[in-house]
Amino acid sequence: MNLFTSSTLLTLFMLTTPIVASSTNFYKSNKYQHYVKNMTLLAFITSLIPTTMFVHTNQETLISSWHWITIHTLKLSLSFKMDYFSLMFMPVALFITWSIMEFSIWYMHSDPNINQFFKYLLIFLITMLILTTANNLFQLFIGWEGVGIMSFLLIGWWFGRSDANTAALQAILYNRIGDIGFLLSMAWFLSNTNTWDLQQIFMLNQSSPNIPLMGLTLAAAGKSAQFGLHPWLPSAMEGPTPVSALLHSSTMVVAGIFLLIRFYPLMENNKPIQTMVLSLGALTTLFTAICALTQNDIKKIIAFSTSSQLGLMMVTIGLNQPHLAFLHICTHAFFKAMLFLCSGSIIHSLNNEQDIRKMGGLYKILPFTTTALITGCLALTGMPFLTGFYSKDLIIEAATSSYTNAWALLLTLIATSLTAIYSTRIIFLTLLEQPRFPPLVSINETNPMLINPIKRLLIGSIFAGFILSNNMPPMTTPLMTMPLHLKLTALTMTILGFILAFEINSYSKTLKYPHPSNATNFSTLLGYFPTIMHRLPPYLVLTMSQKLATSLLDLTWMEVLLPKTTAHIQLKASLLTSNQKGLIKLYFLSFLITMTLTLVLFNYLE
Amino acid sequence: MMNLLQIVRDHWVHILVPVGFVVGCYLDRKNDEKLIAFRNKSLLYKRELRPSEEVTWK
Amino acid sequence: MLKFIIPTVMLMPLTWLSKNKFIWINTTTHSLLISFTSLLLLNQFNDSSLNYSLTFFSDSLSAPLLMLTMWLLPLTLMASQSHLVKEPLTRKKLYITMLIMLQILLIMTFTATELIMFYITFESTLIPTLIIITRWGNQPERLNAGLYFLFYTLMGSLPLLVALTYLQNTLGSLNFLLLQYWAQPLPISWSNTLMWLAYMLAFLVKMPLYGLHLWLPKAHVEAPIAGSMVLAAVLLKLGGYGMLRITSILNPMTEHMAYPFLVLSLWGMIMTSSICLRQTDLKSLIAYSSISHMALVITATLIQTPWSYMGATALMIAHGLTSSMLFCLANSNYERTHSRTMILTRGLQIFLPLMATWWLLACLANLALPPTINLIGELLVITSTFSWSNLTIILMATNILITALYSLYMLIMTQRGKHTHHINNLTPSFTREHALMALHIIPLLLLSLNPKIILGSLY
Repeated sequence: MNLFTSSTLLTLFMLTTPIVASSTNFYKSNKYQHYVKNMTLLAFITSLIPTTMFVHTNQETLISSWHWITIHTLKLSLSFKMDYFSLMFMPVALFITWSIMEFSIWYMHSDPNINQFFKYLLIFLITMLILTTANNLFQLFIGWEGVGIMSFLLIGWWFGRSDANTAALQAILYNRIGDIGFLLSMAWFLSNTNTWDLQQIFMLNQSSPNIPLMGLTLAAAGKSAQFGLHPWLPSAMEGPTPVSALLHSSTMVVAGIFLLIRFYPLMENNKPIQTMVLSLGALTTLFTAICALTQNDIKKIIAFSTSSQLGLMMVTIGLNQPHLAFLHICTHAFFKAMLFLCSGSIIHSLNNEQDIRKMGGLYKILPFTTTALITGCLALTGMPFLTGFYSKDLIIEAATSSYTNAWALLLTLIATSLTAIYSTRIIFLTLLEQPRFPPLVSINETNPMLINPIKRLLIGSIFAGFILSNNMPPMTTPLMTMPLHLKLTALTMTILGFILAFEINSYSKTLKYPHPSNATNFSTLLGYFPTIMHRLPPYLVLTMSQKLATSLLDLTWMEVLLPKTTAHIQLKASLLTSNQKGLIKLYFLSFLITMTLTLVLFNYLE
Repeated sequence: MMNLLQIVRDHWVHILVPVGFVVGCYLDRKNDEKLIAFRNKSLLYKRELRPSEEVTWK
Repeated sequence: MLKFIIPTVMLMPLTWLSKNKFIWINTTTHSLLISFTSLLLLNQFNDSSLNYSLTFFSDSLSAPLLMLTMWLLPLTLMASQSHLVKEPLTRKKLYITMLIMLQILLIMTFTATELIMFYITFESTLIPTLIIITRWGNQPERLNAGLYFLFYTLMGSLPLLVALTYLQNTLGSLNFLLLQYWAQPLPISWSNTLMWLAYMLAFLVKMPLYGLHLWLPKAHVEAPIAGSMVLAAVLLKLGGYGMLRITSILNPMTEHMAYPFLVLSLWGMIMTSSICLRQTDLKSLIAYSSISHMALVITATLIQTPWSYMGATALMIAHGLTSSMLFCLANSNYERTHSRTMILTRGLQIFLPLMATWWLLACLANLALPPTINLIGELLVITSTFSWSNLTIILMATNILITALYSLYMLIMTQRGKHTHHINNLTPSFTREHALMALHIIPLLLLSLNPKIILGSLY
């Protein structure tokens, strides 16, 4: 018996202990947060065992333990898949969550419900790990929806703010649109192959059908905020910064990409779907990069950069390079988490100021954060030998040397260049030049709870790519040779972006700021997408439900058709058939006449 | 002693539902037996009678 | 079956003879005990059915519904305590008696062997419900609601009586167990169309089908808490149960006749859930959400596949617990703010955090979060309708989307946001209320560990 399965399960089990502990009195003490953090650390260390074994021996396992239900011929059981993806992802996710949790102890220290916050973070992580390790679609769906709901709770953490509630609802709404696709493919797999187990699905669907793959693509587009379903991602910045960091690095948003990577045995034979994914990804990466250019909220810029990177991952899947996309998920997680933590540090120091126009000159007072932020930005742009380089460069190379859709590739290249531009913009506006913030005394970055996680992620952002790409077993043959100009494309595009950004920045200092052009407006208003999509369809739907469903049908026609008509007929019929009409005067008159007549008659009888 | 009497007087109602359950069980069982008796009569479900066992459906 | 009915009957003398201060605790305890004995029903050692007697039987379809019925009585009693706190003693006892009577009749309905017995008990459940609604409702509109409730369901079910008489005359027996073997196929003809309608209309009204649903929101809104709970949790399921039972003798007519009703229920599902989006009245929202969930059950029943039957059964149980819990939560808000308007309880999470947890769990169950049984039910229904016609997934998916929206809208409206000043002096929540919510949510969670027992007949 080797340690492979048992230590993986131990990792998962360890993470559940703080949740069990939350029902004891320990939950009320302020040690609970540290306990959660340490448990995550321990889980990280434990998870290294199976990962190391996997790297060493390249063995994959599948365990199917607790039989849940059998319906007809469909057997559902608790089943974990420990393969390339789940084993590589687990330590990365745990490492990053550990850092973010440590950061949260500092960032959220004044929150009265901090223990609950930690519990939520932990459940968020657990659902993500369920998603990655699941071997059947139902279990995957548990993780999938769990991630969605936990993001709802975490984005809406400051529930007194209506913006936070709206953002949380938005996240759920867009995710639910994606879930439609997931349910569609679940229904399709069940009715056509009679199984939800992944390995059986892959075995039975050699012809790679279109319908379920479209469903999965929709699901991935919803979860990973691809074009059309992207607006929830920047809105999700209403949540606390650690949540944004977790959401954008190792959980939630990569779940969609991960789903497609999981299903690559089906995708790799289906060209139409691949083209669709490629175009979707390219569009997303360009559009969100454009949106990122003019944002003024530091968290929003980073959020849009996540979206852009997700588009890049989607492009990679479209290029039929799922393993490369997976590598990018892992490397991206490090520097994206760090960027968020840095922005959290800045925001906290500037007394909750998120506008980069009111920052500047922070390199003197926050030297450490500055170092980390610049390294993160460089890693994001794919500077050679930082973490991002190892995946991003390969992706661009794979793109430039493939035969697919040239327009999509061009869009991706432009987006790569734009990445450099908005990264430079962050660096210039927040860190360099003159300070533009009110003089404050609260600026402080000495707390080890702040320094340590960023330091850890900083080391990760520098070396993780090297370590990961050297240790991951190669699954696809990398491109061995290519012309020099193709090799240098990625770097050229990035450097081009940098030069452009420098140039524009010097313009903006020396020249008068012109009237915002149409292009600027397009970018600032996020391509008019939220303005249109968040107003017109809800207005139509809500008007329809009020006017058509409620007023016209329910309160009018259905009332009139059955009950009112029946009552009316009854009323008329009873009026028609009864003698008593309530004519009191007439009745009394007749009564009077009768009485008088009787009296008169009787009197005259005598 | 009086205390006990008082308790009994206050809480005798608790006996009602358990009694109901017991009576119900009894009636159910009796009914089951009646149906089993019928079952022994049918050709399909009958079993071999032990020696010196009377038929149940007389 | 008498071992459940007789103890329930004995609850009535228990109510009237108990010492005054003990009426609630005694009835609640004993009804809870009875509901524990109902676990015996889980022992379905015979695959098709358990024939307890010539009058009563239960099988794997009726057993979960029976258990739900028996489970609901203690919960309704717990929920009604503060509603009745100002009533005189006799009326409290009368109220409890009504609930017990309803329970007896429901047990008899779910276990009846003869169709006509089923019909009689089915109809007679109207009486205690009507009394509860019209006597203990909160507003004068309750009389109108009672009227709607009574007449809609009565008008729907009278044709059934005629049809049953006809069936008795032609077949000579109305026994459920025999019926599926004896039933003659119903060939497609005009008279048989009417026959089919007569059989099904009673249940379609009871479910209720969209278009015939007007009584439901009214009854739910006006009924006291116990009435709403029982109505949502069990009475609606009578329709589903009846449909699942009676469709076995309606072949092949159902295939032919199902279309308009399928269309109506799929359309109504969207309509009612979009009505929910614009509701300001909490109870009305929950009532409309019930209609939209029940539309799924109707769809599943009408397409008649084993998977859809399983889905329908699971969804009925899941919805029973969930909607009943939502009504309890709505009532706990109502008792504090004396209004059903959602916005008045905005930001309640600050004041009643544990209650907010219950709200969250109930809303998540309502939007069918995996792995709750609500999801299992919906998933089975969606899968089977998908394989019936691929296009239905569009409507189903829209409904899922809207369901998630209004469930979370309800959560956000009542729990989140900035709190208003008038809720500063609320009474804190009682242990009784928390126990009540826990007793709803625990079975819901436990059932998702072993959903097999509520899937009805697995064949």
